[in-house]
Amino acid sequence: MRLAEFLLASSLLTGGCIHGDSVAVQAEVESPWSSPGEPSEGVDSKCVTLSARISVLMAKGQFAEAEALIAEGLASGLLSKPQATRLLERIAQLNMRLGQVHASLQRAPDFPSQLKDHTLFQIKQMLDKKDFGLATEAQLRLAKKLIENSDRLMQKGK
Amino acid sequence: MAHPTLDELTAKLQAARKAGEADTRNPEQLRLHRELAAACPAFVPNLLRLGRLLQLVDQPEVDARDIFSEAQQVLQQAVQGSDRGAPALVELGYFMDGIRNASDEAFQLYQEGATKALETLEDAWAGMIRYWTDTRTKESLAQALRLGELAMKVFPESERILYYVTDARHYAAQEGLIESEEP
Repeated sequence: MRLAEFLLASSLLTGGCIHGDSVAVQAEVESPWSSPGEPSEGVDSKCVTLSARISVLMAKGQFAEAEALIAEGLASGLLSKPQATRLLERIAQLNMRLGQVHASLQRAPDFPSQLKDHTLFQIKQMLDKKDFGLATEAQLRLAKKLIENSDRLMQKGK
Repeated sequence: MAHPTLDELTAKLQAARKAGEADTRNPEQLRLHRELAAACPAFVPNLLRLGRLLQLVDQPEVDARDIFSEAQQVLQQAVQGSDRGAPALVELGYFMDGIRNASDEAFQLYQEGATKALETLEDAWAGMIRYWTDTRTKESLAQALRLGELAMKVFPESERILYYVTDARHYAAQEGLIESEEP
């Protein structure tokens, strides 16, 4: 719980929301001790709400709607460019097929090759619906991790 | 042969990184990082990079088992060489999770890495709050209050954070940013 709170909170600090201007600072100063779970209305909470809404759309597979909201957020200044880029990269990853991960990763010992033509989103859907017709739960989980991790390895390698 | 100097190690690491800039899957990077790992098995930044690259660069002529054993060994070396530092622990965690499919072991590594990283975060935030408090402008004190609020949520039991936040609130009250709490 503490960590989850921290992750949410730290995205406020390091995220691309508009923090530097005096209006945002002033809004914060007015109620610096707002109790947990009751975020003060302002740029911060709007920004988190928008990212959260986009994230929910993505999780449902409504990618076009998510992309439209990202474009709107970018235009209105509620999302920074790096934030928008990161969300778009996540959409690309959800649409990535297991067979598109690095060839080296496809040689992992238990690589579930029967899932090669399935995207991360489809794999997550199967897990969600407990659809183990094509692969076991463990295989689906591994496939999910391999796609998710390949993105991390690339990011870290830069 | 004399051990390479730190400047030499850094220059070699940069050269290896450069080899990957043009082509992220360039196998030449692997050769350079391996050479460096042999010259200095405790140079952690190189080990972390090599451990990741071994998972990314395709080597169809090599048995996959050997590649993954090498990656694991290199990452374990990074954990040892960094005295179980957070970045190495987490990197090994991801490897165990994805490649070895050993989620429980990976979780232990993530947890240990998170604990180590949080210790650093607590120290860094305490330093930032102090910096903003000592600057003592309205804006800097507002920054100190904002980070202080977050820091108290993440580290409710940290006396160090509490100590600096108390100072920040004292000066913020003097500036009229918040109401004075002092009797």
